[in-house]
Amino acid sequence: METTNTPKPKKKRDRVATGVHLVYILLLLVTVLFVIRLVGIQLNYTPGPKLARVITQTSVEKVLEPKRGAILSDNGSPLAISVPVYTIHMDCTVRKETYARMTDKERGAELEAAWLEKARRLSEGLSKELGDRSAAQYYELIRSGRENRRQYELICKDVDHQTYKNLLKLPLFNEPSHRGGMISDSRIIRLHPYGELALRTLGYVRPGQSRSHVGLEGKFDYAIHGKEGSEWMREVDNKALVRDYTKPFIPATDGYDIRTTLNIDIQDIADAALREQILGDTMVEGGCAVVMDVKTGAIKAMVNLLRDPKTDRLGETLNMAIGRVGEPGSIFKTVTLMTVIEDGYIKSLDDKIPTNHGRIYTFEPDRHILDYEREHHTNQIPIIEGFKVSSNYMFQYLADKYYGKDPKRFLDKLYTYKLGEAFDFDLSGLATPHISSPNAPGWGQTSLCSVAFGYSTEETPLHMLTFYNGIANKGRLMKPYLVESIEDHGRIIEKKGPAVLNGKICSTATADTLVRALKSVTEEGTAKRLKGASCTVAGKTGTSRVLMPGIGYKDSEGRFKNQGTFVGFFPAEDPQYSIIAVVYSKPSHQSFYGGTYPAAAVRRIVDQMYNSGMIDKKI
Amino acid sequence: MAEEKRKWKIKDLGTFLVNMLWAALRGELLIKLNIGKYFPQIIYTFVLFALIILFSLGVDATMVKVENNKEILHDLEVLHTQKSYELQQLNRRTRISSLLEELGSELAPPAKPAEHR
Repeated sequence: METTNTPKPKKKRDRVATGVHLVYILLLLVTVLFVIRLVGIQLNYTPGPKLARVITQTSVEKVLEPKRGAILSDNGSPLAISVPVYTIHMDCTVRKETYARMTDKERGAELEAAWLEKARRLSEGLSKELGDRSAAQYYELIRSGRENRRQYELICKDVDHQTYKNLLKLPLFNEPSHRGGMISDSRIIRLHPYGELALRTLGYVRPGQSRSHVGLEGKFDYAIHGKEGSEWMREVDNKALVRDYTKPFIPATDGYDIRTTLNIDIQDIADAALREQILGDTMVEGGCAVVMDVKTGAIKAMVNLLRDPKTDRLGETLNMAIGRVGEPGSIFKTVTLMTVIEDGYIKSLDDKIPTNHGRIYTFEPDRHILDYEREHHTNQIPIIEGFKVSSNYMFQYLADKYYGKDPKRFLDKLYTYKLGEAFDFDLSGLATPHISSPNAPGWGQTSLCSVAFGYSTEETPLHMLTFYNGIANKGRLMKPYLVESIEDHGRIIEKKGPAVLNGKICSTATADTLVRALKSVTEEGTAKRLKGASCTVAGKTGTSRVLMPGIGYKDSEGRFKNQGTFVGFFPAEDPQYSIIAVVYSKPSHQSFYGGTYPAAAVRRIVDQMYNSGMIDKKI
Repeated sequence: MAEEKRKWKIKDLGTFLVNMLWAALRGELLIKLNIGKYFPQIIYTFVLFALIILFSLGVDATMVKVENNKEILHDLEVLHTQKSYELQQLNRRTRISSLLEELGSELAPPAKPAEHR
């Protein structure tokens, strides 16, 4: 078969197909260049700092602040809680330069006027919300701040969260700060719903100050504070921030709550009662009162009122109940009486001692003894009579007779009553008592006698109350405490509760004898104000001169400071609460006694507690 | 007679590459590679990419909602604390007495404890 070389007919080129083919070639070239550029960037390109900042997704570390734990009363009512407050400043100059530099001056002026109009509406909102200035005043503040280039003008200080949220809705404040000028700072403050009640006991933490940790807040800061956490935040669309899960997240641990033993009703009653007694007498420097549960040692109320020398106002500014040591005076006679009874030297309160015209050593004759001698035509006085009228001579005589040759035996007893040591307490600052020692310089023949009636020894009100509480508790000395438990949203983390300082400071019989003696004081003795109270009170008054450091008992003008005390427990037949009230005077020529303000305050407290059903009536 | 197995030479690789280049220029590369039979897998891959992007955007949007809700919860917590504070202030015994006195009420603290029957 023959083959012929006939040429193939030429294909007619379609124009559309040619055009599409050209576009395809172009796109292919662009793609090839694109791929080459991509490879080049991966291998060989470092972006400039501005571009790197824009294209790099950064995470920002945010510190998570823990929520500070609350301090609660015995029934869970909050006594101290944390809330945020906000201080707002304003940069009045925002956008001013931008508008001024615009090439279109008319447009710049329009924008400036619009900004000022917003400032006017902002001022109306501020006046309505804050209420401390008129709208015109706020506008003038902002306008003059803008004119005078003030960039940190104070608008308001320490406003609450709700007010802050309302301010954020106002014109200018609802814009970013570089447009609206709002600068806000927040801090957490502690609020006390019950005002000044137990404020010093609750305390505070103020870092940077010399006494930065005070009261329960200070002592238990380790539990209440909590632990900071941290999280990383990354930016997403619309400049919103969300948590970056690729980075570590440490949640904040909120602080624990402290449940105290304080009963807010008893605290209120005690505060009002003490205030009522001492507010009107400007010669009174201040006073304190403590109410304690007999069986457990739980402190139900602790009041400390000190007069401000400038304003004369009584405030909780110093914890005198634990921090002020002083010569206790006659309330210490019960200590002497307990010792002589417990050691068997006194069998009964009806035992008698010679009156000796009230003289012993170089002490001034005791006028109570002289009065008794005169009234009863006798030279013997029963112990109970001397105790009722708070005779110094009686206790000087007893101490000297039974312990004069070996005073250490008597003084050692004081240490068993925990009157010589600052035990571990739920507040910092419990002062250390001081008991004279035969080995100390200045100890003389009369020193033991001084100790016996409450001088030459220094005690805090809390120490004396603890001792009397031991009598009420049949000789069982309970440690006073303020913190019942540490909790986390109601779940108990650590239970504190009652503790015993000394299981038996005296026998039950001795305790009963002392109760009888103390009842006689309130029924017929120096604390007669308490006779007829809603329930029977047993206790002792005391009045002592306060030693002024570097001056002595009297200053150059003959003025002196007094400390009047009443300490006891109620109901006397079956004690449920023990109580102490102490009042301190300023230097003056006037005397006041434990049987006046302190006893009157205690009477009021007892009556109100009883009438309010706080005392179990089944006796 | 059995076919001898073809031995690949370097020259063949060059021919292959030139053929691929001409196919690419002519727009016939994918046809030559017989990509057509993998078309569903290619579409599926692109759908997966789209879904991943959508889900990622959805997650970010949800995270933004979470952060906004945290802010709302914090506001409510603070409001609750402030209201509790205001309520407790009214619970104070002496404050109640003074409020009653201001309102002219005859109600006073009890003069004696309640009777138990």
